[in-house]
Amino acid sequence: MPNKHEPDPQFVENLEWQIGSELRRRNRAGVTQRQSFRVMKIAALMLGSVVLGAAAMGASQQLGESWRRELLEARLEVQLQLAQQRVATQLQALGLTREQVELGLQTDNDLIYFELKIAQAETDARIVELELEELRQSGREPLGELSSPLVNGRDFVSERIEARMELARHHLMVVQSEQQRMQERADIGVVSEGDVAGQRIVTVEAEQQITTLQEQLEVRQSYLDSEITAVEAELRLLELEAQRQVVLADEQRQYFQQMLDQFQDAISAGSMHPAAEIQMRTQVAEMEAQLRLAQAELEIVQRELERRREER
Amino acid sequence: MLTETELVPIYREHTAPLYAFVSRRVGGDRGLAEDIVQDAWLRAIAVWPRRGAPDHPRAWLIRVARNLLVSHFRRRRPVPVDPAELELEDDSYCPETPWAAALVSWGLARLRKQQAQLLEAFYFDGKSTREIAQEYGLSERAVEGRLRRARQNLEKRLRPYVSSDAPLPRTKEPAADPVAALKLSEGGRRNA
Repeated sequence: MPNKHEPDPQFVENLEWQIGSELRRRNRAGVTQRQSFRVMKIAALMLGSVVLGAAAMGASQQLGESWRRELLEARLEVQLQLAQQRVATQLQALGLTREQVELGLQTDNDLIYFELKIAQAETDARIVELELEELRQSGREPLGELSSPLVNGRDFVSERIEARMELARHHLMVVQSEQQRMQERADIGVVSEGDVAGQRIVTVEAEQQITTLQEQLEVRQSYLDSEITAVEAELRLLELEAQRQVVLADEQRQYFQQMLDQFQDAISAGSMHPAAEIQMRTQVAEMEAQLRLAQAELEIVQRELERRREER
Repeated sequence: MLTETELVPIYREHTAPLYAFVSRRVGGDRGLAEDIVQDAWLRAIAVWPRRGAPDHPRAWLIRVARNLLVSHFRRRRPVPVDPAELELEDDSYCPETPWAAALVSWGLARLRKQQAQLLEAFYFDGKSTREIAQEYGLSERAVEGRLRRARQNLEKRLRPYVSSDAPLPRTKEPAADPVAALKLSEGGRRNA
């Protein structure tokens, strides 16, 4: 009998695939690169691909060896089954939670939490379904770049973004409700203003997620309408990510600054050890550095975008 | 840049221990354990390519998973549990059911970090007071004292949620006195 604290081999395999894909996506998008020359290098590489022509690019993306295609298809099929199972499990859990809510043992918040988990599972399933369909129709690995070509006239990239958008909206609704609940509890003194500020960061992050996805859809449409080039589309994606990072880093910096002020008051009142201030100062300094970095990245990408617009 | 070739061996080496760490703290709730492990790895993927994989990936992942668990249990309201399922004073006690583990983890998420870690080592990792004493550089007597205080705090947190009328499935007969069943007497240890 297997040990209940051992992971399911299918889960381990599925997660390995997921983090591998995520790592490849991040490495491809270059969102983690810090140096300006990296941005330029990516832009140059993408430009090279465009110059060489879509045909050459498409050929390189074809899964020439049939066994590779079969392997990827099998993995996606398993992933889809897992995602669908996850939806079914979460629906069962939701039913149990509803019963508990009716008995007054759990709150509506628990229901909201489960509904969000179901939405997450449904989105995962939908995205894998779309990837599988793209693989079957195109014969190559599904592409996530905003400058990816249509497949038989179908825009899989936008369809996947829209699926994520639906989940992001659901998520925002949940965090906004949590924010409101937290504020109400702060008003009666059950939680601190610091907790409210912490929750505010979560809300801002959720709002930013929607903004970024909406803008991705717009950039995608501009690319398909030939208003911008492939390089510009990918640069716009880097710009959106940098803008998101700026907003989040600024929000976090303000939060830590507010906490620092509170710590200083508490230390002055003798209710906190002075060492706590040093730790919080370090957090503020770290967030300031991250903010400067995000601003620098944004500036580099925007400068390059501007240069390309002028050239056009 | 962290490549997939570098990542995969790390992933294969540390995923099962990470899962076991999480699973013990959620009483074997597979869905929740998988969600936490997945989140921990996704955070690793978000950070490691930028800063490089840490020298001790497992310690890093476990720290993140612990934070995710604390965050999860801080958000949740616990479901009442049958007192027979909480034998906190038993040296060999480990919450076996998801609801008992959820309640203990919920309580731990509300204790001071040092106390929570001590109790976690005791209940979920099955460490003896001697092992904990060696790890923390303390005497066994000091560890016993700290464990006793930590248990008392945990008991205070859990008391409202320990009920012999708990509606969830029970594996043992409920005790007559729910609070006494917690066996959190001043003595600190349950008599055999």
